[in-house]
Amino acid sequence: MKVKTIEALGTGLLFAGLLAMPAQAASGADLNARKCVAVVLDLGSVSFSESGFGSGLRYGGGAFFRTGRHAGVEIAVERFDVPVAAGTAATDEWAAGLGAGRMATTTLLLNQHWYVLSHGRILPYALIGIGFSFIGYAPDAPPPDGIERDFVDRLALQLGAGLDYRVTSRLAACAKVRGSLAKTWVEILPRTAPIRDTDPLAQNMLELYGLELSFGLKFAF
Amino acid sequence: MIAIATTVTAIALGLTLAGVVPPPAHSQHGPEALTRTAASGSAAFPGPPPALPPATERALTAAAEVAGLNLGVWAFLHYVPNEFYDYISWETIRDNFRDGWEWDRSQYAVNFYHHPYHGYLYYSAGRANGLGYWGSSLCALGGSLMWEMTMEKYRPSVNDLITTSLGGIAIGEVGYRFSALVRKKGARGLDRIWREAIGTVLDPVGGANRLLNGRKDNEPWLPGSPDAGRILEGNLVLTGPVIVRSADVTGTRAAPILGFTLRYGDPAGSGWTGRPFDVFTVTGRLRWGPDRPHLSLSISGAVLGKPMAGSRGATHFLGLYQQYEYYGFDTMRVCGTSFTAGWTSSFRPGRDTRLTASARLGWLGFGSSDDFANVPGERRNYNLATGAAAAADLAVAIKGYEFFSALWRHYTLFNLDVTGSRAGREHWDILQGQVSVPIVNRIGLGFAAEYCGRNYVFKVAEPGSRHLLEARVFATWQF
Repeated sequence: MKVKTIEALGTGLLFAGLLAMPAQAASGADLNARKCVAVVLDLGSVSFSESGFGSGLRYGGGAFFRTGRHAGVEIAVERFDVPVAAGTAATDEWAAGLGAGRMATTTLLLNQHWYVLSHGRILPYALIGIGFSFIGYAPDAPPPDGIERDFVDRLALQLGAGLDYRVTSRLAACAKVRGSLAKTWVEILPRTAPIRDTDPLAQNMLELYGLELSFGLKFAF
Repeated sequence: MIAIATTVTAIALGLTLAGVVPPPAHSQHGPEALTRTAASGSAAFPGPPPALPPATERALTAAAEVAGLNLGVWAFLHYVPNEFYDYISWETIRDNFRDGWEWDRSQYAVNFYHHPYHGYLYYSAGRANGLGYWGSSLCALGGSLMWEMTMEKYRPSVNDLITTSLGGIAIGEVGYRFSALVRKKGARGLDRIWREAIGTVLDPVGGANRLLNGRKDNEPWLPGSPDAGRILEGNLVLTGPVIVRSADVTGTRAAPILGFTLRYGDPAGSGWTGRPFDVFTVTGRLRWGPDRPHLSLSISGAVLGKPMAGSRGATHFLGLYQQYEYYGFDTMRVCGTSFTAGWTSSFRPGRDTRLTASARLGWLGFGSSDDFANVPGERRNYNLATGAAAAADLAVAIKGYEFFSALWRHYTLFNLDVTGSRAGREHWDILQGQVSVPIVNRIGLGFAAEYCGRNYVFKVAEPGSRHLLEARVFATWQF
């Protein structure tokens, strides 16, 4: 069985287990929203609509600050790694495109959550935020033309929605779907001028709009 | 588009506020009431009610909303019009911190008109969260600083930081004060809807907060809707065709000019409670030509001041003022943000007569000039400067109707020797005068003349000058 399948299965089992746990500690006033700091860990998958990019596993963790009855802020780091097909990002001038390889991205996220409800076991929310995406490319084999290439790092808008299932007053299981909207391009390394001198509109723009689905745990202090 | 929107908003505001003003009997409002009330020793508009608690200050929420505004504007620019300068990343931010400041050479109107509107949103976030003038000013500065350092791939711009912050403060405080006059506690139904809608235009973040967080009234010490008639006066002006003008003024002679003046509080200081912008004046006009509609906008508000009672009903006010001015006449432009010290006096030479005179002198912290005559298309070469600003005003009103007014504005610019700016010195003088008589109620007809002169000595060119004069008839509605 593939590692990815095992991980996905593990995540699903964990989430199902949490849903089935007795919630004796969480009742009444304990389920009121209150200002708190929490640690968040989550695991899931990511896929892209841009051709040439596959799907893969993502994982992340960070801190969550419940700032009000209906609001919270999440500061987190996530990482994912997806395959890149040969010929991706090809243009008329560069017909070969990228060689087969992998794109590994680390993103620093700052997301605002708006909770629909302020009380109860199930707390759905919408999220909007930004992510500083550090996008790396690793070809499976050295490029035939000997030129090293990489994706340009970007700030990307984050949009999504999620659900907190409060197992206890401190522990919640989380499910989240999020779109990460990065627009980037392939550049030749080493860069000879500051990135601000590059006209992005003259590049072969790649819309790396990733759809991320994740499950996790949130523990409040 | 923003120029048109501003004028329409201002005129709508004028009509709106005029609509909530009690009938203009001037037994209740206007200069006479203000002077008379001051002479009798009471304030012209309500002072701070001591029994009411101060507004709750939510500085962190304000800071979060300022950051949110920047991210929202960035997201719009990045994903909708796909602006090239909003492709940012950790690297562009790092480079901006490393490479430091520069002078931005965006279009004239963008730099000196659009940017203050951006600052206005930051300031509005501060005001919407209970911060006062100074706290909200920090929001304008902080928001602008965040934008310059992080939200564009360009290096941070000194001039953008100044115009966004100081212009935003002036426009923001004016908008906030007017929003308090429009919003009304206890309003219901349609009355509430239109008040909230206009209030949101004037105080955008406050309007959004009220929508999201439930209705919260403005700070209790602010003059509100019931006080509009006592604290606000002004006029709307529509000019007719040109009667006479200089030969080199371009553009149509027939197109009208829409103008407005809104005076908040008594310029001579009665009713001053010690809070910045308890007294301010906003003037603006939309003038067609030569290439498109152009807006002039001037805001002058007292930041610090001391009112004094004179003899025979006279009142005087010594103040430190903040100005944001953007003036255009034909192809000539001068603008800037300045701080001046000055005085305003109001005299009562007759029972129904009021004479108001004022003068100010101070520092033009940052300004700019341009004359795009014979330069088609986008123009990015204009002078950036610091210098001095002076102003004088005179007005005569009888029974609350202003029959005569005149103003003089002077700017001495010491142009900076930076890219696109011609180092040197220039002097601008603007004179405007008008006389009018009431025809029906408070609607009158009059004659107005305007002069704009510029003399310059640049390091790299021969000295020169340009002088424009224009006279028109006009119709006015004073309230």
